[in-house]
Amino acid sequence: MSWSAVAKKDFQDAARSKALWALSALFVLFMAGVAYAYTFVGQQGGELEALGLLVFLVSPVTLLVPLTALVMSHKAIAGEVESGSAKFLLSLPHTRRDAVVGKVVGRGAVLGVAVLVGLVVAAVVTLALYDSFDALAYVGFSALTVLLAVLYTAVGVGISATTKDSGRATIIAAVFFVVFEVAWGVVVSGVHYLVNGTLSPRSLESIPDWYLLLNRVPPSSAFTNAVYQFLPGESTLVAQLFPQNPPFYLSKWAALATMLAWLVVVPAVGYYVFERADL
Amino acid sequence: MAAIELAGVTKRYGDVTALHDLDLQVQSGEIYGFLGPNGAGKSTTIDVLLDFVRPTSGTATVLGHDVNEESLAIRQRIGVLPEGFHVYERLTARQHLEFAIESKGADDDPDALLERVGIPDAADRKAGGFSKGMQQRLALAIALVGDPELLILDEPSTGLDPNGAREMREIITEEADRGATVFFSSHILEQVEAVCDRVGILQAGELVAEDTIRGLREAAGTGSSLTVTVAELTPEIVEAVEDVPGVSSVDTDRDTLTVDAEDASKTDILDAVEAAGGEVTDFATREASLDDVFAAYTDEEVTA
Repeated sequence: MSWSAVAKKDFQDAARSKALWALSALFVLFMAGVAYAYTFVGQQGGELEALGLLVFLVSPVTLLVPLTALVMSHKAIAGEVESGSAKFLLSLPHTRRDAVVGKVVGRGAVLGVAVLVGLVVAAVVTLALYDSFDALAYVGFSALTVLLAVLYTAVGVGISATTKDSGRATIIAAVFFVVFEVAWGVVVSGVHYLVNGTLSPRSLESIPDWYLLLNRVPPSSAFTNAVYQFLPGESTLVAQLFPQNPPFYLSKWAALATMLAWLVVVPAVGYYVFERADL
Repeated sequence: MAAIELAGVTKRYGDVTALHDLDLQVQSGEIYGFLGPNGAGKSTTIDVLLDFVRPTSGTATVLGHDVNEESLAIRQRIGVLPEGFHVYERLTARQHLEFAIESKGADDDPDALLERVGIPDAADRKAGGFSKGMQQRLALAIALVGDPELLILDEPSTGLDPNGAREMREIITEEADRGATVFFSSHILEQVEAVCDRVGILQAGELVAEDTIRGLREAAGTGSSLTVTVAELTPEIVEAVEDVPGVSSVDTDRDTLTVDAEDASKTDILDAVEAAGGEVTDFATREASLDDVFAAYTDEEVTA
């Protein structure tokens, strides 16, 4: 259980940083701001629904949360090794696995708290100004958003464990973000071109399942699909194509499992490299 | 039992060999000084003991545990003052110690530890604002958490003023009296000389000498010398002194004799001077400094 000591230390360290407070303020302003702004644009149907707000929030959340999580975490281990504070950490009885897990938990908790504070304030705004508030949906959305924050923290910590050069950690984190969050559509199109000779399916009926699946691989995409599929109202492409039951790998549970896989796999790879490295 | 044992440890980084077939034993309960110029491989050796780096070949054990397989058990039982460490800038001295205490499952009092290393007033200040000397004291306090069986101190007096270095030596001695083994590296000789039972000298990744301070002096052929000033120096006096068993050479400079002796007693030499009619006005003994010894082994310009 020695990772808990590392996590506690990391949380204390981060909790004293102005960056955390700035971050919390950012999320409060962002979430509450969007909740308030939505009252002006979301009223077309007459009723102002909190559910509509959640759908409206998905896209900015998938940009803001991954970026802040990566910025906060991508030097977690590389930075400590580079500066020499890892010499304290690892001369105490912690395994390198404890160090990685502790960092994921500690930093994940920091970002999770910041996101949660933003969501709670937005919930207060929603309760005050909206006609309806679906508490269950809001809690579900909040849980998935916190999971996305922790997931991307874990990705950042995992990346930071693969190198002892924090500059290189920054580059790897940037490449990760670009590949999975910016340019993933190009990757999917490329694969489709190699398989079918066209960049994208010609009609809804000709969309192969693997194409749908591939689109759901990036963390933010898995998050988006999980939000849409868990929330009431089947508005997704998968729901259109599979009115009865989608294949299991396109289900909401698969989207959730994809998020959990990211949460585990990148830190595991980072740990694998870190464990074998000379510090 | 050996507290530290390295057998045939070689560490290469690319085509640079940091440690070359190093054999080293530190006995339980001793204070072992690990000497060598910067870059000799002292920190690499310590990094091997802490499993920070893995040897290219050879084996190492600490307190009977393999350094790689059982590193956690080792680090539970030792205290480390690393070289080139960096404090957690936003954590207070107390939080640093609480982290170490929690990590080791110890029950030390952070205030008592800070008192012991001489920075009791710094407990609730952020370590980022500490001077190098205070950071070094904090690092020592962290090393002392949990009354470790073995202390590994890498260049412990870095950043300390002479007074701080003396306090550091006192704590090292206290720890040894408590029964702890102390292994510390240094390129500063006085530190080692003052407290160590045994000394090893590392040069270019190899142990070039290992002995007690006295043994090293003798091995390097730099024994003690005695200077005797007499009221009037005569050739008879010089002859008489040269005849004293154990005297290897006698130099004269006006009324002063400088006598190099391997093991001749001071009294014998002074008696011989007086028997030859000399009137001793002053005398002084000088032991070869470890600098001389060190230089003899490492062929390096040594600045202490």
